[in-house]
Amino acid sequence: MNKSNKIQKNTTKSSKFSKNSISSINLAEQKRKQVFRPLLDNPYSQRHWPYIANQTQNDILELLRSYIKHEEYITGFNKVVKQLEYQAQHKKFSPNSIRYVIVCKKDINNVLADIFPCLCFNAKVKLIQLPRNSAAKLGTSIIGLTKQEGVLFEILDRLDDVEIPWLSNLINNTTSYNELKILK
Amino acid sequence: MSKKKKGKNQQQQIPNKDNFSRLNYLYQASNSLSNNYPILSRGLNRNLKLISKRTTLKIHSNVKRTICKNCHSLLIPGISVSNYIENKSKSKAQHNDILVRTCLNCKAIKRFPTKIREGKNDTEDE
Repeated sequence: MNKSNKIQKNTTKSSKFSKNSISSINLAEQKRKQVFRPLLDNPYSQRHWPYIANQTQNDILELLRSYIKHEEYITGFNKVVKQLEYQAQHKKFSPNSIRYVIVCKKDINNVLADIFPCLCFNAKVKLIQLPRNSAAKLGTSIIGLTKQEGVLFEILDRLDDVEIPWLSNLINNTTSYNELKILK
Repeated sequence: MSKKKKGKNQQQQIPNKDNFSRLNYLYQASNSLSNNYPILSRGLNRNLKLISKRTTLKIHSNVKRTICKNCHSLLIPGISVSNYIENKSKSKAQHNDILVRTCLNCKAIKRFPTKIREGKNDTEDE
């Protein structure tokens, strides 16, 4: 995990060059017009998804498909996120509160998926990502589960929690300044 | 040898490196202060935006989206921003979903379309 600040280079090519007017001046101009622009990137990497092996992901998917047919669960982005935000603010667990969030990360837009690591960290909930195209198999892309017993929950309990070092430092007041780093 | 030289040249090419490190400092300072001194953190974020405008330096959209456009407070999901999906279309098609982010400090609203564009959604696996 690279906590230091990055400066990325962004290339923008000009498309003004036309085929009809090939001359040495134009060629030189085209070469000059390739502009590199530095960008300030986030020093705190935004992607903190806990690692889950592919085989485990597939196992969880299969178990979930059978689980969903019989048991109750919370589904849909709005319901899950609303519940998680409530849990993050109150920091209390009730029997009805969500303990595991399952997200088909590759099947939804990045803008939506990027919310979950921070949110799950604040709500102290486990975050599980599923392989590509699993949303079609499950019927939904986001599922919230309460704690129950079974093989599925034994596997889920063994997985890693979400870890966001900069956010936990922020809450515990132990942040430090990182040196500027430049990528080539 | 030649590779090393190239690396050096590339480093020298970055203009306004001092300004970048200033922005870097401001962002990290506002992060670390956002919990205890929210007003100071907002002030730092405002400085960050003003300096990036004055020096015409680009900031990555990831960073920009963590700062409220209205009150410049730091937006962290679960603490200072609430998200929900809105769909006002008649057909309720999934590609019309819009993510609405509300800053809990000033209640300012920002919307993001969530349609998946092909080839744009590939994230790097760690």
